[in-house]
Amino acid sequence: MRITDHPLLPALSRREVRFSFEGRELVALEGESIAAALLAAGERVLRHHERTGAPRGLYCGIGHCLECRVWVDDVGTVRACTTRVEDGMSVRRSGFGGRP
Amino acid sequence: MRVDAVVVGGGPAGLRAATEVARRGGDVVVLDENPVFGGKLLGQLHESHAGGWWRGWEVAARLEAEARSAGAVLRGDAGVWALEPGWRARVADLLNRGDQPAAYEAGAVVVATGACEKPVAVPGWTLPGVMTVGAAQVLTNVHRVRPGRRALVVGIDPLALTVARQLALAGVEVVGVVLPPPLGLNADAGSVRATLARLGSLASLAPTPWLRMAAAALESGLARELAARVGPPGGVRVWGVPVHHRTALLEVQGDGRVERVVLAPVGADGEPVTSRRREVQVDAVCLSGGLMPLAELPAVLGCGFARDERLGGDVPLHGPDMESTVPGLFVAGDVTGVEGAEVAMAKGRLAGLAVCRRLGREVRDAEIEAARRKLDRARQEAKIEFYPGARQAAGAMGQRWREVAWVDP
Amino acid sequence: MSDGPELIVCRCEEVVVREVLDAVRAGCRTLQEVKMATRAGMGPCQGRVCRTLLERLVTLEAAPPEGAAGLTKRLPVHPVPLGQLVEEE
Repeated sequence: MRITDHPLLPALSRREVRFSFEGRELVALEGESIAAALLAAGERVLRHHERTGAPRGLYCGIGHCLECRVWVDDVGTVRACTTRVEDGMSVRRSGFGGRP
Repeated sequence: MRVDAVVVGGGPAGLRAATEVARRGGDVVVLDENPVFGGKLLGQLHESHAGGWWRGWEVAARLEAEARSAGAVLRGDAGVWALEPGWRARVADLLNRGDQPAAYEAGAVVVATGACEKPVAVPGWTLPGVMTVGAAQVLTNVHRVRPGRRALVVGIDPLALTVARQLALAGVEVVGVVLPPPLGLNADAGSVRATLARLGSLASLAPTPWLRMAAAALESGLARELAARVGPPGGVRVWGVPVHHRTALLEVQGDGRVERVVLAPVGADGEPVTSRRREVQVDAVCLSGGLMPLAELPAVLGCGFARDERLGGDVPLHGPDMESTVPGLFVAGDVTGVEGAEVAMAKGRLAGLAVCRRLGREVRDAEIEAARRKLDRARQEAKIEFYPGARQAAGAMGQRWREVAWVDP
Repeated sequence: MSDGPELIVCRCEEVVVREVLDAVRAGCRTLQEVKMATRAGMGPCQGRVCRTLLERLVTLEAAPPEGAAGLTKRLPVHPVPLGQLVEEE
């Protein structure tokens, strides 16, 4: 899903960062959002609705709708769409009340 | 922490406003929820009238550099969750680091929080893989990740068409651009005729015969009828992407994620012909319902608003120098009406000058006049009006501000 | 599935069209009243996404809701991380 060959966008040279999602080790590129890194790794489901359990993913992309909220260990609840992945980050889906 | 001015939002308007204040020796901080600055500019990529391409991120980099070199402080990952008159801005440190001020006291505030997208409701719209066109633009152009392999774009308006093209450029198979379900819930986004009225301004940028007809449709009822009724079965190609202005999305389906969509042709009466529904496999659906100002802070502060659909909806009333109905609170950019980046920059500049004056710094009348003229020019030169009539609507805003038309006293 | 009356309007609370229309038919005329009756607009996004849809529904079913310059008319305008919602100094 990563775009490597674009006719107009300049190539970015970004170093790899390692993070985990739900305990699974993943590789991301420095500077990308958690949501983008997860999508690149094939993960579209960011949350399950607290009452119905329905799977939810990225919707507005600008930190507005809060659908993409995830839990980052040692940080708390963040919006996956506006938060950058950092080396060593441990990300989980948030449950009721925000905590996993 | 004490500063002279706080700017909420680090997009084109906010950065320009901050630059203006900093250049005149003002202590100014720009606060943005994102880790990087530039707002919507970062993902923008489209053909410009001068020929060549508008690369929003380059404009953003230039604006950011100007702001920094002028002396403005730019702080990201910072969400302004409250503004208190006098002024005090309460800031949430979104990464919980605890190493930055939780509040700033200032003599003036500029709210430049931009616009957000109006929703398009369709059965299945909560499935992972359904997102706004704005989200698709950011994923694709900023993060370089495709929203999917095969996408449907829903909603026929300048932003939707631009994003459809961006997706195609990025190697996404765009199966088409269609209408949303024509439910009352979706206002006129699902209406063929209203859609054509919206597209007139695009005709000069993408001169297809169909869009030229759309431009004519703005003037002539007959042209509108013709344009509404014609269309080849494969869709009209705009920038290489098939636009089906007589096809509507009925439903998004899938087991836990987007797997397919159900489409149907739209009859002459504007209603979908469900007996002719068909399924198309896609893994991403990008919805476009139009943009509206994101003016929560002005609303909470009791600013006067006016509703004008030509500007996107509820707009905080502002005077000729971008001051809201609350003294010391200035507004700039798309939050004052969806008019695009260049107009936003001109508004930011004007607001910045007005802030300087408010802070007691010397600003000559000639400078304010020049900034106002620049804004008028930016408005006249803007080739795409997101909504038809935005120019006139914006021009009328000053009059309404003087009348202090309260929508919600 | 989620067609017609079962179409989700408020994503945060999964409030559907039917519930909103029932509230309007029961007399709700402002977005605040609809919120109290259905939970629509009470979720984490505080109506940012659904406000537009709710307004249209109320307008179509009855009349434009009064005082509609925003569901979110209180602070904080967005959620603040734990521990930061305190008085400074």
